Amino acid sequence: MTARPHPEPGAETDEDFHLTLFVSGASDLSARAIAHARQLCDGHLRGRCRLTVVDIHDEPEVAVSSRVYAVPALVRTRPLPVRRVIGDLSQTGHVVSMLLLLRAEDTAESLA
Amino acid sequence: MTSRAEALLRMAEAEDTLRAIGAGEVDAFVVADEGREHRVFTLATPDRPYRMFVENMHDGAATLSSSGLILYANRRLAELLARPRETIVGSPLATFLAPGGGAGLDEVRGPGGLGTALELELIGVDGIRVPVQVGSSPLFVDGEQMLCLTFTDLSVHKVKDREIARLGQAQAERLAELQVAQAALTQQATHDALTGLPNRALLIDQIDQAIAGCQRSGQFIAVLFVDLDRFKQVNDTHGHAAGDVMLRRVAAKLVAALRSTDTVARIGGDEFVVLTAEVGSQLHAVDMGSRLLSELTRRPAAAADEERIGASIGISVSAGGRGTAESLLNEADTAMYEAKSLGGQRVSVFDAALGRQVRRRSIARQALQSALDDHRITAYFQPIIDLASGSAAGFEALARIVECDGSITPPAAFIPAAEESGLVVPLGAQVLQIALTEASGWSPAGTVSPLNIAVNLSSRQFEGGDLAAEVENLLDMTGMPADGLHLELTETAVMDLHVDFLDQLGSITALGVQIGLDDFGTGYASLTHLRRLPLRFVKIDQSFVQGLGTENEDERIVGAVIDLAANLGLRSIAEGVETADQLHQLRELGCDQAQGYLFARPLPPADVEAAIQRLADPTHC
Repeated sequence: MTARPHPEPGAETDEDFHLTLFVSGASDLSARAIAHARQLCDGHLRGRCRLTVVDIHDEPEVAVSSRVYAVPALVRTRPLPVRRVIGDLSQTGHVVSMLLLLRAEDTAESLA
Repeated sequence: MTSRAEALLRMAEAEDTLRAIGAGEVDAFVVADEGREHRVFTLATPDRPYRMFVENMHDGAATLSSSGLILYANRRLAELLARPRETIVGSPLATFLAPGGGAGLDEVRGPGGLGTALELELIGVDGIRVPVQVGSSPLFVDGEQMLCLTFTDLSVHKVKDREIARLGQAQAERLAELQVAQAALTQQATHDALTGLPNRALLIDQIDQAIAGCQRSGQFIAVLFVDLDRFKQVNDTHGHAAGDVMLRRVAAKLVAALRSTDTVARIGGDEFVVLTAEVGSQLHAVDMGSRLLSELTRRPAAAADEERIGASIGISVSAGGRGTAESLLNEADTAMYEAKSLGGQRVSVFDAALGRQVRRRSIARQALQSALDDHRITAYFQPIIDLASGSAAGFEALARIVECDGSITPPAAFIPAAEESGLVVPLGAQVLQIALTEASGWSPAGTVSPLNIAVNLSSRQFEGGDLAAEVENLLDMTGMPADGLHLELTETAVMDLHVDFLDQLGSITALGVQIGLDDFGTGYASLTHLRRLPLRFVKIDQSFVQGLGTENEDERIVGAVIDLAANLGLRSIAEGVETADQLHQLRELGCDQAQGYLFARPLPPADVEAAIQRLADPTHC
């Protein structure tokens, strides 16, 4: 996973969430995805979230290296494991469960 | 993480992706293409062209959620904020506004505020403030009111505004300066600086307009040319400042004496012109001229010490739009000269007779010019008899033109034209040279003293400034002794003499040359002049001499002049002596010398020697 170019060293804790939202330009879906991602950061993850928005038209290589192929897509880069949510982020329950389950085992169990 | 868990996650993500695609929640795909640029495929939508437009437009654009988050920012907004777009999108707009800016935005968002323009300041990455004008329009998505904003960079405009304001100010100042300068130039170009009266250019313009008006109405206009008499004397005697005062006084008097519809202009040193469009006839114009003359001459009792102003006025009248400004001015000028030549302080009107006279003078001038060019000027010599000894004391040289057919033209035919045109200067120089050349060759056989040569001098010959040098040069060339040259100035010439001319006269007398006054009694020379000038002789005008024996008054005048001359130590010479009786009387009155037909007419150079011999014979008269 490539680090985003705007780290804020020293200000992070283990509990910090690093989220990257991949969007496609100025589309409706992108706009809505941004709004929802921000809601998430200011809601459930208030004070623990750093959100970065990447336009795949500008930086397709970042999307590829993050294994994001369809957008909008919200990627949790920290804490590991990396998690990805594709499409509409308005189903906050689903999104939250996808993003907030910290351990892969937990995730697998929840999915099983 | 175990590989099993990892696989489950990947599978869940894949399912999620498929579900999202199926639900229409995905609008673009990235396809990795190793070794090449990754490609992005976007699902085309009908509004895509507008998105492209917004994306690439020159103004910043953003979509704001109802809570103020930036959901979308175009490239330009990122440029304005000098930040990467990913740090902008998803952040509240307030983060990028200068303090207090958010409140303004709330107003925009509020009822009635939409669609209005608002000026805000964005804060760039380094705290640099960028003034922007914000335009807004509402956007409803799924029941949520969003806001579409545009940001127009004002910094360039503001700089430009300031520049424009500065330039505008400078330009306005420059324009005002130009207008003032233009007005001054116009005033300068059309008015006389000393008196503030219109100048020649403006006068000509106004005369032309008046003529055009007369062509329509058939009325009269009159041009009155006013020239001050003896203004040069005022300048010479009292200085130019006094002259200027007089000119201003004349200007004021003329303006006061005329109606506001009349024009008064100053077109030269002491030359004023009045244009009046309301004259019924030529007589009317003459009345007006006479009135102006008396107004100019009138001296208020309180100003008795003021220099008396005299003037000559020439009038030209145009009926029904006849002539041009130039022709009317020329005619009025000619009439003015006529008034001046009649002694000044009078009014003359240009008429057909004067016109003929002018034409005659013009012809005479041309004839004189061609005679000068062809060296057809010669001199005749009239002996001047010493009344004590009866022999010739000398000769007076008199100019003649030798016509192409050999005939001789007397001076009366060309001297007025010569004086008027200035040709008297080359004429005088040629006559002086001829006279000195001839006189230097005369043999004074039988005479007591060497023969003198008298030559007439015009005041205009002083204008070149080097008359003394010219005379000295001719004396050297001809070998004529300086005291043998007698230069005669008319009284009128003496009146015209500037201070500078008097200096030249002094230089000439310093050479030994004698100066005398010609035609004494006909002009205005005062005793002051007799005293002021370095004179050696006076010539009594023939008009007085011819009255001797018949007019008692003339006898008294001639006697008085002879006595006056004797008392001032001057030689007296009588002109125009035709009878033995006149000669007798002159001898009785104590006159020193005489000339006239009684002794000899003016003689061609070839006859001079014989005359000298004849006059040496004491029995000749």
